[in-house]
This record gives sequence, structure tokens and C-alpha cells, in this order.
Amino acid sequence: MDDDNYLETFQEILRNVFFDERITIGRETTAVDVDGWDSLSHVRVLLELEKSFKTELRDAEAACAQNVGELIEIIKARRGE
Amino acid sequence: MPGAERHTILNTIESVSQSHSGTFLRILNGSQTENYSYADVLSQAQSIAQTYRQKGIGHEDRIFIVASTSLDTVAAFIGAWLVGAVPSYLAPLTGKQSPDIYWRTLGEILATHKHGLLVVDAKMQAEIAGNQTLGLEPSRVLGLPINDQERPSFSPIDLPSHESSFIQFSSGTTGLRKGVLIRDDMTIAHLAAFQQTFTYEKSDCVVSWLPLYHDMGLVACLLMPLLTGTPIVLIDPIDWTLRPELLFSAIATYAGTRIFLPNFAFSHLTNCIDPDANFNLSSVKSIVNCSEPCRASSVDRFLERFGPCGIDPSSIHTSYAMAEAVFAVTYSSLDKKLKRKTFSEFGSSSLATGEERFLFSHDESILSCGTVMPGTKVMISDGVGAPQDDGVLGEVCLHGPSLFEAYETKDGKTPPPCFGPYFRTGDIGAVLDGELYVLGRSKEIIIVNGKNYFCTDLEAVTNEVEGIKPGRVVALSVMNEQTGTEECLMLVEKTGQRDDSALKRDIRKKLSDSIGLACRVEIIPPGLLVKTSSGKVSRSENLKQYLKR
Repeated sequence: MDDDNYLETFQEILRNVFFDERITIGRETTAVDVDGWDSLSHVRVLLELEKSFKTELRDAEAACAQNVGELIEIIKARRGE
Repeated sequence: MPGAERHTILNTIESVSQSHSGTFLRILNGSQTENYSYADVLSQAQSIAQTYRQKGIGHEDRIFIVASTSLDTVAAFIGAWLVGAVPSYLAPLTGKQSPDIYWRTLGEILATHKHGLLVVDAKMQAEIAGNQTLGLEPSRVLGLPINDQERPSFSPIDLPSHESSFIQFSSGTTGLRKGVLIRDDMTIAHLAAFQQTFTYEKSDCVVSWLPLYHDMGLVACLLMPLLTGTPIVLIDPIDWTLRPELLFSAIATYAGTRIFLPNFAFSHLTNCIDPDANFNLSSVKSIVNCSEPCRASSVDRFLERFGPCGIDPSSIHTSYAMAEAVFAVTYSSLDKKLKRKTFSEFGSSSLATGEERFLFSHDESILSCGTVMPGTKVMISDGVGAPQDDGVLGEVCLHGPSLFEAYETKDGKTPPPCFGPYFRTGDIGAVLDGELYVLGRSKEIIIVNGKNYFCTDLEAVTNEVEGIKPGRVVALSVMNEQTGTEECLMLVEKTGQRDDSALKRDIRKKLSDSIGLACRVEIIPPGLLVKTSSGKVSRSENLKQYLKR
């Protein structure tokens, strides 16, 4: 899976979690770029990412990722890519 | 432990310790569980108390504890009482908040309480060591755990007279951060009322993920169990946030009976636990919804999902609580079904400001907060302090033996707003058929995930962002049905040609760094914000206008 696929899936997840079809993201996107992205909604984002990418993400490393790109790198590493 | 003669926290603990056997405190730490007896906890508290004494900490000195959940964190609080000091848990630095602002706030609290000690865990200690701005003398910091070489040998401590019990801090940025000083007699009065209503027994087991710096975590899930000998299982709040199922695993493993949850937690559990996961939750006697407006929709979704796991609908209860009253003000009886009303069943209010904001829509079921705790009196007041009739909305005012007298601030003791002996809560509600319903508030607070934020703080911070028309900002509370909690919505008017999305990002970042709150931001056309006749931005009117759009 290439980076564009990751970003596309990630963006779809954010749109669903935050009920906002206008959300557009890039690797540099952080929580403050999205209305209402707090620590609890972050857990819902991680849960959806876990389901989509079939990997465990609810831990300190993933919780502390600074932006979308960092989180994608964590997912890729855990999937052995 | 030598005990004082009058009925105090310390002689209550001494009395419980004489008959307590078995495990009292369980701490879930990753995949491991630490088990401690009541005697283990007291022994550790005595050991830490000796260290306090060596540092010269004594009568009425303040001890601020910033540490993740552990035996030492609990023992550090009890140990403070053993030297006559006044403990307080403070929130740790989170990943969201700006470290500079966090340390500045902490520094100001320590500066306000000059004769104090900061007790921290290893993680915090490392952060303090790398922080030059705090300027703390090493003698004013105690790191946990105390290693065996530093641990003094135990010697009996003569109990000092002890009037102050602990301090709970309100939310808010530096300028408005207020300490609620709880006296020993207030705690004992609260204990007596709590035991007539919530009735903890030694055969119970309280399971909690709540932070100890929150009144519900501290009082309902640590102090009341400590003073009644009720076993507790504590889960780290961050672990629970990431894995909410830990609460149910702990209930199933340790036959948990008593649970306290803010409303958002009902939704977080429902939203985040695997729909196929199953737990045996049949041991639960009560789950008390507290610290946020209790919403029927959150409770109903929770019961639909977890009823099949053994949660009986009759086990769901509510309570209206606040740090200013130690904790609980009302309770819904454990043997009665929760009452529900709708807006139309209440008479309209006649409050002075007209700035009250309601937290429920007109067709929404409103859960009763139950009956007032024994010894506490509630008065529903109009705008000038006159009592309202049954069923008529007004400001909830309280009087009783657990109510505090003053806030502690950097400017000294500040009396709370009162009508005669009654403390004005700033909440809007009514008493109907002997039960309290809280429907809104006139005070300038937004409660998000059980935590209070002052609207004026949020607006002041937002006003610092470049591109905002000065003073043309309002912080509003909007209910989010999905998360079961309020959301902060900032409506702002801009000046100049800044790009809207960049401006919104800057505002969200500023609020996150300064206050640790994730907000929604909307830029609205100039001149759209409505002001009151006195020239202040009207929260109630702007909320109405926003909801109409």
C-alpha cells in the first residue's frame, strides 16, 4: 500500500469520526487542524485505523504521534511494510 | 497510630484499620496488578510522612502531588495528614498542553502556597530537572518512589490538631485558578451523608479509572472507600482512555460493585468497546452518572449495549456533585427507578440576568439528579434570592455542613457568591416531587469530558490570536450527542484579510496549548455577534442565533 492509499483511508476515517465531509488532510496534518480532535476522539480514530489496517494502535506511541505522517509510519512499521 | 479524640479523618482511618483484613487497594499497571492491604497503605503513608517531617513540612503546609496512579501516590496524600499538612492532587502535564504554560501555572500555585512541597513521580521529576523556568529549590520537591536508602525508619508520629483536610482546584488558567479548601469536619459530614445514601460496605468493590485530581475520582473512589474500608481497584486514566474495556475487565475479575462515571464515559464505553466483546458485569450494584449533565440518550445507548453483559437498568443512578460541597449534593436512591421529565413540565424562570443557557433540547428526556443529601438544603432561587415554588426553574443554591467557605486564590481567601447562607452554584434547575433536576447554567462555564472550563478564559486566550477583532469572540457550549458531552464552540469575528482556515488553526492551537482543550471554531461575518444591553457579548443570545442557523 502506498502513502496515498494510507492518506485516503485516514481522511475517510476522520470524515466519519468527525461527521465532516470537508476534512482534507496531508502528512503534516495535526489534531489542531481538525475541529474537536481531542484525546477521546483520537481513541476513536485509532480504533478505526486498527480496523482498517488490521494492527494494534492503542498505546502510548500511537497516542503521542505528532501528525498524520508519524502515525502512518507507525502503522506501516507494525504491518511490516 | 495514636488518634485524636474527636471524630476526625485520622481516627476514622485508625478505626477502620483495626478491623480491616484482606486486600484494600489494587492498582492495575499495564498487564500487572499490584495488591495492597489497608496496613500496607498506612505503613507507606507513615514512611512518607517521616520524609515530610525531615523536609520540615508540618501544620497546614500544602503538599501538591503530581503523579500517575500508584501506592505512593495514594500514600503521599494520607501521609500529609499524618504531619498536619494539607494535600492536593494536581493534573500532570499532558501531551496536548504547552509545557511552558503548564509549568508557569504550576509555579504560580507553588508561589501562592509558599510553605509547600511538590511531590512528583519519576517522569515529572525528570521534566522538572530539565525545566529552568520553574525555579524550584530542590528541598521543595520530593520524588516518588522514595528508595530504600532514603526511606527513614518508622517512628510514631504525634498527631497534630488537624483542621484543613485537602484542597481541590477548579479548572481555569492561572489568573482564575481557585482552590477549594475542604476542612476535616466537612469531610466527616460528607462521609456521614454518603454512608446514609450510597452505603459503601466492606463487601463492596469500587472500580475507578477517574483521575485523583478530579473530585469524583478523589472523594467517591478513594477517600470514601478509605474511610469505610471499602476495597478499590484503580486504573490509570490514560490507560482507560485508550482501552476503555479495562474498566469492564476489572469489574469482571474483581467482582466490582460500585462505579462512578461522568456522562461522557457512558458514551466512550459504548462507542469504543468492540461490539462483539462480552463481559460478566452482573456484580455491579450501582453506576452513578455524575459531574456532567446526565443525559438519558447516553444512558439508554449504554444499557442497550451492556445490558446483555449483566448491567441491570435499575443499577444506573445519578448524582449532582461539586468540589465546593466536598462532592455529592444529591443522590438517586438505589432502590428507586430513575425519574425522567421533559422541559415542558417545569415552570419558566425569572432570573435577573436572562443569561441562563439550557443544556437540553425541549423534547429531550431529562434525568432526575435525585434527592438532596441528608443535612444539605437546596433552595431554588429567583434572580434576587427569593425561593421559587416547586417545579419552577431558578438558580440552584445550597447550604449545609459540607459546603465550603471561601476559595483560596493568589489574592487570598475569596468568598463565594451567596444569597444569605446559601451558596449560589450558578446552575439552573428545579425541585419537583422532592427531586432536583439541573437543566442549565447561568455561570460562565463549559463542562467538557467532566472538566470545567471558564468561558472568559477561553475568550481571553482566543483574543490574543492575531487577526481577531478585539472583543468580538464568544465561547459557547454545544451538546455533542455522539460523545455524550459538551463541545466548546468559539464564534469569532476577524479583522484584516487572514485566511479563515489558517486563523481557525491558530485559534485551536492557542486554546490547546494554553488550556488543553480541543475546540470547534467558526468565523462569522463582522457585526453578527449579539451584545447585551450592558455591552457584553451575550452567550445565551448568540447560542440561540447559532442554533437557528
